[in-house]
Formats: sequence, C-alpha cells, structure tokens
Amino acid sequence: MAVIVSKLIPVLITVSMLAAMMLLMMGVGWASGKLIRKMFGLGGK
Amino acid sequence: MEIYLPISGVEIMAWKLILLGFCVGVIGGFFGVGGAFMVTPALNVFGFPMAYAIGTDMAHIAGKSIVATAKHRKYGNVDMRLGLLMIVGTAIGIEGGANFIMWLEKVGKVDVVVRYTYMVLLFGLSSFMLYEYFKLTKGTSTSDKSKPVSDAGTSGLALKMQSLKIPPMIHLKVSGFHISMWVVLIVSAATGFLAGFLGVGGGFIRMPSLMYVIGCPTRVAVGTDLFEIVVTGAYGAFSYAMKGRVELIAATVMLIGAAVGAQFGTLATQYVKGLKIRLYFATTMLLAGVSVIFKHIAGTYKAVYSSKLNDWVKTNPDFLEFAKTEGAKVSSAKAQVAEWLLFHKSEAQAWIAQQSDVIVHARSMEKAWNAYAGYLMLGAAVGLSILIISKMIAGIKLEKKLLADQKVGV
Repeated sequence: MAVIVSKLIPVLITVSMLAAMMLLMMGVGWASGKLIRKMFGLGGK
Repeated sequence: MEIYLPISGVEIMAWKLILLGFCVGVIGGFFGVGGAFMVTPALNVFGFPMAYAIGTDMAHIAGKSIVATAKHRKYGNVDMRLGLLMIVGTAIGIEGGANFIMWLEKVGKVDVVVRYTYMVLLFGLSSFMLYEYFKLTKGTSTSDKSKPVSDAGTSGLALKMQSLKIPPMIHLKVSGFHISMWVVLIVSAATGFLAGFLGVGGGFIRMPSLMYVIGCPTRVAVGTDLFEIVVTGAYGAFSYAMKGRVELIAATVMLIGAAVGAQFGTLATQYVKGLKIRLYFATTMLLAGVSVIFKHIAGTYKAVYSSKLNDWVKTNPDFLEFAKTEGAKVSSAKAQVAEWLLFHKSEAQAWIAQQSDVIVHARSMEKAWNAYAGYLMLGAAVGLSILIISKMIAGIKLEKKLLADQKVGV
C-alpha cells in the first residue's frame, strides 16, 4: 500500500500542477479572446 | 524583469519568454502546429539549457493547443471523429518510429538518417505546397483575386483516397465527405511513424497530410491537427514533468503570451484564405529546412571532436556511477553519454578548453551555427506573426467595408 501511495503522489502532484497551469491558460485565453473581439469590434463567436 | 528558474538554475528575461510564447501562439493557432521546431532552438538562443527546453516546450504546446482548439471548435473547424481516429493511428505509428530509431542506433547511422530525412521532408513538403499554390492561383486575374479560391480536396491523391470503398466507411460531417476508416488509420500511422522517427510532435507533417491525402479543407486540417496536439502534447508534458524536465515557471510565463497569441492566430484563419494559409505554411517549412541545414553544419563541426569527447565521458568516474544507477534506465550506451552530457555541460566545456586549437575552433563554430539556426527561427516566428496579424486586420477591415457597402445598397 505504502509503495503504491509513494508512486501515486508524484503522479498526482504533476497532474494537478499541469492541470492548474492549463486552467489558468484557458482563463487567460478566454479573457484575451473577449478583449481582442472587443478591440476589433467583432460580435458573435 | 528577470525570473529565476529553480529547476534548471538559470535566470531569464520574462519578456523574451512572453514574446516567444505570443509569436508561436499566433503561428500555432494559424497553422495548427505545436511549433516545437521554432521554440526549442529559440529557447536555446535565450540561454535556456537544452535538457529543459524540450520538456518546457512540450508543456507550453499542450496548454496553447487547448486554447487554440477550443477557439477552432467554436468556429466549426475541428472534426472530432477524424481527430480521434487520427490519435489511434498516430499512437501506433509513433511506437513503430521509436522502434525504428532504436534499430538505427544499433546500426550507428541514426544522426545522419534522421537529419537528411528531416531536410528532405521539410523541403519536399514546402516545394510541393508552393507548387500547388502557384498552380491553383495561376490564371487568376488581379480582379478575381478577391474571390475565394477553391481549396478543399483539391489534390488528386485526396480524391483517389476518398474513392477507395474499403469498409467500414465513415462520414466526416465537419470535413464534408465519406472515407474509409482504414485510409485515415494508415495515413495517421504513417505520419505518426515519421514523427516518432524524427522525435518531433509531427504537426507539420499531419497538417499537409490532412489536406492533401485525406482532403480536408485547410481550416478543418488546422483545427483537427490542433485537437490531436492537445492529446499528444498533454501526454508529452506529463511524461517530461515526471522526469523533472519541465520548468513550470518558464512554461507558465510562455503560456501567458501563447494563450493571447493563439487567439490572434485562430481568429486570423477566419480572415485569411485557405490558400494563403498554405502559402505561409510552405514558407515556414522552407525556413525550418534552412535552419536544419544550419544545424547540419553545426553537426559536422561537432563530428570533429565528438568521438574523443565520448571516449573521455566513458572513462569519467562520475559517468560510470551514473551509468550504473540512473543511466541504466536509458537504452543504449550512446544515449547514456548524451544524457550525462546534458547535465554536465560545464565539465565538458572545461575538457574542450584543454584540447587542441582544432577542437576549440570546431566547438566555437558548432555553437555559432546552432545560434544562427535559433536566430533564424526566432526571426521567422516574429516576422510571420506580424504578417499574420496584419493580414487579419486587413481582412477585418475589408469585411466591415463590405458590410457597410451592403447596408448602403439596401
């Protein structure tokens, strides 16, 4: 059990750090997308 | 502002990373490629250690592709069915390519074969795409140039592939045609094989294959390729992160630029004609080919001293210890030496400094040609992103003018 947990922890940490990074970027992408469309006066999608 | 990267122990200017991320974001969103062929040499020019450049680049590619794919999906440019099938074929192909590389390593011809294949592929693809572009635009008068030019399924090869009725046939709704599942699997396995063999993501091979062999419209090829890069990039980022090769701070800073750049690149695909996208893509491949030639020249200088350096490494006590422990995980002795050298650059440099003038000169020339390759890719990234954004702005202005004219007409 301890062996499985010790192997799983680095995997979980790596996955959560990468996931957090990706989520942050999706937020940045979404916000910048809105801003760009506003900047060029584009509606819809 | 300089930021300290704790894993690799180097300091780097944040604006450089943001700018690089932005430019490659624009290019990636526009062409549907990861852009590793631009990012890795450019990071190296910035003083980023190669050992971390690939892993960090992979994390940046995964993040950027998510943002770009989400946007392309909104525009209806992602063929999910095709993308999922391509992932299966690519995975099989990559495994085959990686095994072929291991066989070549045993024969001892890996470097030369990989480099020449890379050059032939880049120059071959770009020449073919340029030929196609000029063939399709030939005879189009100046007044006709504002009209959209046909760009879907134009290649004869794509039409032949679509006419093969080998069951099961699948309907690709977004791409707009029926095709045999086997054709998709074989094409993706072949591109995956090349990607695994060359050690690259393979977006630059898949994107033209989707257009010219399968027959997807340019924008769908871009969006679908990006969807595939999300999956392969995420796997690559995870794999490199587990090996401690991802500089998360650098990847995050780059991604801030890339997330914004990808928005511009994706939006630009709506305002630039499919054929123009192909023209710019071909030009990028041509420049990447020139950069590989520069790297090849650097490689010839490296050959002057590499065997002597390898012999020195193999007798180094620190390497012998590494070969018994961590290095044991690496397949071949050559790969073990390369892995050790990645993290012992200063020792190798000290050894070179003590050698003959010929070796010292060869080393400095190798560094110079590698730097030329990096600067070329950096220049190409900046120049292309400026071109793409300016074309996008021109397209938006034209669309607004046409809309205004229509209103006046009504």
